[in-house]
Amino acid sequence: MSESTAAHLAKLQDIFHDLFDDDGIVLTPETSAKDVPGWDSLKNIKLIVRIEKAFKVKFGTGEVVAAKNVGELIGLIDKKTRG
Amino acid sequence: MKSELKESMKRRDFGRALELIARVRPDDDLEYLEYAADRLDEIPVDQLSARAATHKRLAIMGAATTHFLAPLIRLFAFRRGLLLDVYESDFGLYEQEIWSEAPALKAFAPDVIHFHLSSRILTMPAPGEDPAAAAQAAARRHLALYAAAAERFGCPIIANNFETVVERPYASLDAVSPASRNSLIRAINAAVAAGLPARVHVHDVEHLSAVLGKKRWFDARAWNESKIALGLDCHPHYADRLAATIGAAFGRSKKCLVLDLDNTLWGGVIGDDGLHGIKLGQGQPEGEAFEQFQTYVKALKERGVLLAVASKNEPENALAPFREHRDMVLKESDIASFVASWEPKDGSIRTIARRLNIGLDAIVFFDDNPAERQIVAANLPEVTVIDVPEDPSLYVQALDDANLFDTLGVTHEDQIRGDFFQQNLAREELVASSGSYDDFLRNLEMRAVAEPVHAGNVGRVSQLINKTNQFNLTTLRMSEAEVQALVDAPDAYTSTVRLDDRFGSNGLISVVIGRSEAGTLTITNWLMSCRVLKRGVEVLEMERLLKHCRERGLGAVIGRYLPTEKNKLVANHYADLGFVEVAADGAGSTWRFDVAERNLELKHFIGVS
Repeated sequence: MSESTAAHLAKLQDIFHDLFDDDGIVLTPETSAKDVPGWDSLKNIKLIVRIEKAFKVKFGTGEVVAAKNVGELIGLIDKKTRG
Repeated sequence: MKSELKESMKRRDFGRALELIARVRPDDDLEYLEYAADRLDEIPVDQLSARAATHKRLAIMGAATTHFLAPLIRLFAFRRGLLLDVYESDFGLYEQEIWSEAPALKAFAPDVIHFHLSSRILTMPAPGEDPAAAAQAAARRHLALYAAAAERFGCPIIANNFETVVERPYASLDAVSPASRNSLIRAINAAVAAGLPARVHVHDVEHLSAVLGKKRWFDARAWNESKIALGLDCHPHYADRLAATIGAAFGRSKKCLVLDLDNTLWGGVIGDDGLHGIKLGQGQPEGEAFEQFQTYVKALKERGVLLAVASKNEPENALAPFREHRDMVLKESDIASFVASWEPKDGSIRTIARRLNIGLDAIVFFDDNPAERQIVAANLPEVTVIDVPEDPSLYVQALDDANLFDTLGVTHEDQIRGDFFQQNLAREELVASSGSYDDFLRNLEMRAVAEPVHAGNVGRVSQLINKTNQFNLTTLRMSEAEVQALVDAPDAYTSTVRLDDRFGSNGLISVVIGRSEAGTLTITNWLMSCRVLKRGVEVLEMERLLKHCRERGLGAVIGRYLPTEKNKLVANHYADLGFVEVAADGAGSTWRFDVAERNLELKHFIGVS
């Protein structure tokens, strides 16, 4: 895991803790929606808004939905923050 | 805010949590609002009902995604004292579920149905098709749906109109060409508004989207990814407005606006600056702001909101502008109760509530002075205190944004409501000059029109049923459709009384509803507007009731008294009318009157036509 990936993962984990009101959630690059109870389409909408705000990025239509797990999501964030 | 709410939830201090939740505003941070909305699911329902006494079931029929919206509607309804259970239709099945009377929806038995629609679902007329005809067809389709929903589910319907959109392929012709999308939308909205069936009400998203800004309103990505029809940050405003309308359907709207005078209705201090020194009217920027505020308040009064004044002033100073200043929009006759004294304002507001016979929770207080607002908020937590901005140019918006006086229809009684209280002053003088109370009643020269419920008074009857709290034996609410159904029901007894006297009309003020079965008439609703307390109207109703029983050969009348926090006034109602208590349980008491055995002497001073 690169340094920026680790930093993104930590930041993302904070967002999850807040969004799911559960400080026990531990994210890994392999974590996907089925691993987090309550990660449904509604939570996904809220998640996108929070990530955009926290990382100061803007996703394109369909980009986040296409990400299969947290690793891919971080890859997407990485691309956006560097771009 | 969020951290404090989080802390109280952790401590399981739900009282404090709900206090915070009840303070939410549509402009608050969206993440906080989402968080607060979700907390309502974690707090025991008895704690919720303790703060929001009216518990109703809302069905949201969505042509777009409603998952983000529903919790926020619940949150903003809670803020208005309304606890909602929410049903969401399956995505996009808003028409099918109504027409097919979907079992899940039927089982939910909604008290109110909201159609969450958006102009994004409208299809444009095919090339060659007449746009005007297409608009009419779309309007008819929705009107038929709303009417079916109101009838099949027997509840009020609140349906979005359609919002005009940002994009204009017709460019400047958008406003005039009937073929443009926005012209089609406007035509549908106009046709729907013109053809609204009974009990169907419009949630004006065309207006709200313009107020918030249409670029902000529509988030194309959210629509394309999730079929969310409005920008996420617009949802709280939508929810708050809708909650106000739902509240109006269940009698939660405020009834009275209590106003300060100095620096609220005019600039300056009348006692110091004098009649010609206060700022009001054209020619001075501040004066215009106060005039605009008065004009807005006057419009509230015209449609049924009671106005009152609570001012720290000598009475003659306080009244002088109303009587002599030519730029006053509000006149003395617009003010239902006028209190000018040096007493603290919480006392003045109590006086106003008593004089107008309304609850403190029906009152909104508007005062430029933060210290007065604080005293009232601290001593009268039931009163809604407006956070008045410093600049008088912002007064109108501050009051309008609060959405406190929503109404589903303006009845004749609403429009003349302020007059009742003015006339009451004359009535009070008559009391003073009459020898005995009977003399007073005689001198009032009361005349009543007593008649059953019929198509012409269904609107007023259901309004009275749904907002009367004090003189109301069972506080059983009924939808307009349920009231309408009584008109032709053979076993139903209905009676209404409209009361006039020498000082004016009180309008329709009394309703009694019952059902006869096996020789017994059971009263389900007995209620009366408090503005005619102690005039003998209940005796007149009893007289009518007994006459009906004798004509129909009904041997007994059964009445129920279900005590609430607000109806202690009628605890002895049935006893006073000669009923005998026959049973009592946790919910209330049951009273019986044997028509044959009893020959009740009924005395009142009301002439009946």
